[in-house]
Amino acid sequence: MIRLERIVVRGQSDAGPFEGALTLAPGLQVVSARNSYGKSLAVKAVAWCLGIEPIFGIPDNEPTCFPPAVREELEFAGRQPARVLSSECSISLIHDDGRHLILVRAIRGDCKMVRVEERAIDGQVRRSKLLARRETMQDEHGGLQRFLFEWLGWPRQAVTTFRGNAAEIYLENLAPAFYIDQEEGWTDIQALQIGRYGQQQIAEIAVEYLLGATEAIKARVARQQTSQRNAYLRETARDIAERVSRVFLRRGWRVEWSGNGPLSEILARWSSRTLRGILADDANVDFGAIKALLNERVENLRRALTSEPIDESNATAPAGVSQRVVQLKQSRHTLNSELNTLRTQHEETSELVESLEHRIQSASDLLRLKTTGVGRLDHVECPTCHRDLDPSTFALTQQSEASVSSHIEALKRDRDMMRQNLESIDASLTTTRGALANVDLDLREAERSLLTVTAAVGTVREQIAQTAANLTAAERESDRVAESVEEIDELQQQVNGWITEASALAQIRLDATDLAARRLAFLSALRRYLAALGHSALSPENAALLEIDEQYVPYLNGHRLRSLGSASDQSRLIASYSLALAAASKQIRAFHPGIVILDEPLQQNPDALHRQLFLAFLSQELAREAKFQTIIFTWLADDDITRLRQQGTSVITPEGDHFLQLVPTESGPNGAKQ
Amino acid sequence: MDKIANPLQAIGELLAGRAQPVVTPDRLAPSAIYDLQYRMAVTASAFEMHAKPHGLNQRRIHAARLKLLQFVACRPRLLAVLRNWSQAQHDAQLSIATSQRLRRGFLGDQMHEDVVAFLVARGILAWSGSHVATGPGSDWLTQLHSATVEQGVFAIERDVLEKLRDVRITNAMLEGW
Repeated sequence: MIRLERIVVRGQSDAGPFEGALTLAPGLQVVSARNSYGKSLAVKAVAWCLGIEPIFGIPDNEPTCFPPAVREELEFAGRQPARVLSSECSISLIHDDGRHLILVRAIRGDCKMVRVEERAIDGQVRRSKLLARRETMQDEHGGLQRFLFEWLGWPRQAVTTFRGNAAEIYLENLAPAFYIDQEEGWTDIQALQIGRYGQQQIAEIAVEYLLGATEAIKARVARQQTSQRNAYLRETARDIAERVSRVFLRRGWRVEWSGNGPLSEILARWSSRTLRGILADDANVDFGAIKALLNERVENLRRALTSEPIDESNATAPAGVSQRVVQLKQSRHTLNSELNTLRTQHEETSELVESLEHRIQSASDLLRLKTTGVGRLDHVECPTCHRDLDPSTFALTQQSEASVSSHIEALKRDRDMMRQNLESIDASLTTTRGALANVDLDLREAERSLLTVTAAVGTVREQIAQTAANLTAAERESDRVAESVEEIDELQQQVNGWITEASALAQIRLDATDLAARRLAFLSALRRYLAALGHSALSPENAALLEIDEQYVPYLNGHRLRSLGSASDQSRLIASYSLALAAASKQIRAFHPGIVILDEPLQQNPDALHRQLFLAFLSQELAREAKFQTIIFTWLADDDITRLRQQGTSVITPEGDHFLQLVPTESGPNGAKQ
Repeated sequence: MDKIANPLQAIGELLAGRAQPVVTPDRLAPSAIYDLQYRMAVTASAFEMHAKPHGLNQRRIHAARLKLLQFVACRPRLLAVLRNWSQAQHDAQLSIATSQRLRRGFLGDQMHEDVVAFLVARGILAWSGSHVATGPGSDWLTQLHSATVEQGVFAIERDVLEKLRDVRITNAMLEGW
């Protein structure tokens, strides 16, 4: 872990050099200064030097998180406003092992670079310039965050974005758990967490990282990737199934090969049968037998054409060929008629589905009107005949809400049925079109045969021509079957590939072993801090009922803790959460920086009880003796400061009216009194 | 497709034994198209969108036109039919053929007359010869139309009524209704 040793903001102005510095000790540090002193300037300087300004929702390298006093113009006591010529801030960090690090980043000036000064344990100093934001984690040599993670001894951790791209954890993802700024930090747990990077479950991952549960993060990321892969595989399955169905239907085979349902079910279904197997079982299509039959036919026709004797008295060849043409034309006519009927059915069913959609929409709108009471008429008496002008007098009815709801349900059922009909008609259309294409092909061949046979002179030549045409037709049929087999085998290969991928996905291990103890450490620390800070919903009796869910959201007895207690408990919850994370991380030696910054916790609730509870916390051993650094920026009354100091709490009260002061030309800069 | 040798005999056999009627009470819910509130809302929109100023502070619409507008608004698929019919006005034969699908249900739509009679009795609408005009309580009709627009309900019906502005509905088409 590390601690902050010094925060400095300095610069040059028209009026001369200016500077503000704050020196911090280990453990609990309460910085007390009145409002508009510049405490938040010091708080922002920490985030700026670490290059985590995206947590404030501002663009990279844009120092708009700072007040104009360090960017444009500042006022010194008793002087005219002075223009800021240049400004920068720096933080000094000390590692537990004795290494020092100073980070300096310009505020007005070139703020893309951070000047880094490393001091090793042996006193050796190394200076470098690193990029604050650009490729900050990826750039091995120039990225600031890459350097900081290495300097801290933290591992880089891959995560996944919602788009399925690879990303990693950045310092700005972790900071919202230990850096609570005045403007937004107190609105929720990890309120400053970055959402626009699109990292999945980043708030949970940040907590797990700070608790050192890297195995758990890997498992979480694997689960996310599995889920995305699962969705991809399901989509691929639907696509393959659609192609298989199209190929089957085109050839007139009505066989079910569905790509719907959960991945495991599709996997089980597709693994149990092959495409060829399902065709043989459900459509009686045995390619082996078909090929054998066609080969035999080709052989017989070839033999008849080349070596077998020809009966000269046989004059039936032209009639046979002609008969085939007639049969095929009849088939084509029948199929065309069927196709026209199906097209009409398709058009009408589509219209009906559309009409049902309209009816459902209208009925749903009517139901909405009825529930809101719009368009309802009161009973009125006819001024002349004094009869009640009730709708029933005019043979009109007003349906009840229940009746309209039933009607909507009935319409939905009808629509679903019509959609099924539409699907069935679609399938029939594909089958019929496929059959028609085959008949067209056969007919063209038969017509060519007829032309050849009728042109032949003599019965012998007629028979030879017929046999030759039949042989050609049989060979083409054989080719068509081979094409079908090839196409189905290609689809089978895709199915097999899919099965391999889906099986591999099913075997991914998603469990983590490093989480339970870390969660427990965090939970027990959270209980301690909530009790110490005086969260009103928590009592010694129910403290054991406090739990954290999968998203690390605290729950008490089944209720989200945020919704319990009083409004002022919100800031106590957020402070407890951040402090408990640091305490747990220290206990289990995880990846927390060891610094918790709480900016203006007392301003969140002006009530006296909140102030009293917080001051009581600051004097407790839990706060004072913490093994990490807690820096609280606030304003305390003189009595409170005296009392806290008497109880051993370190309270820093910087001198002067403002944090930034002109640097005296002869003596050193203004210091801070502790 | 298998052909049935004797269709009448096949139907007779089905009705005799195998095709027992099944009554599902929840499917017998009357269509919302016969609900007064629905028809008043559509009539209000049709009137508000198509009625023309008349006299000092009245608006009116031909009764048959109003009936046709609300009828098509409730059945959006008839919009194309009406459009074809309108375009076929120059050809009497074609005109009769294209209007057949529309006439079939339209002539039997007694409910619209009942709704108009009800609104007239309530003083919301008033008869003005062959026209339906605004009555003393016509504000209610305007409010109902505005409420449907505000709540975004019956958008399909209003869309059809909007498109009907571009369809020329001649007196010849309205005669005989």
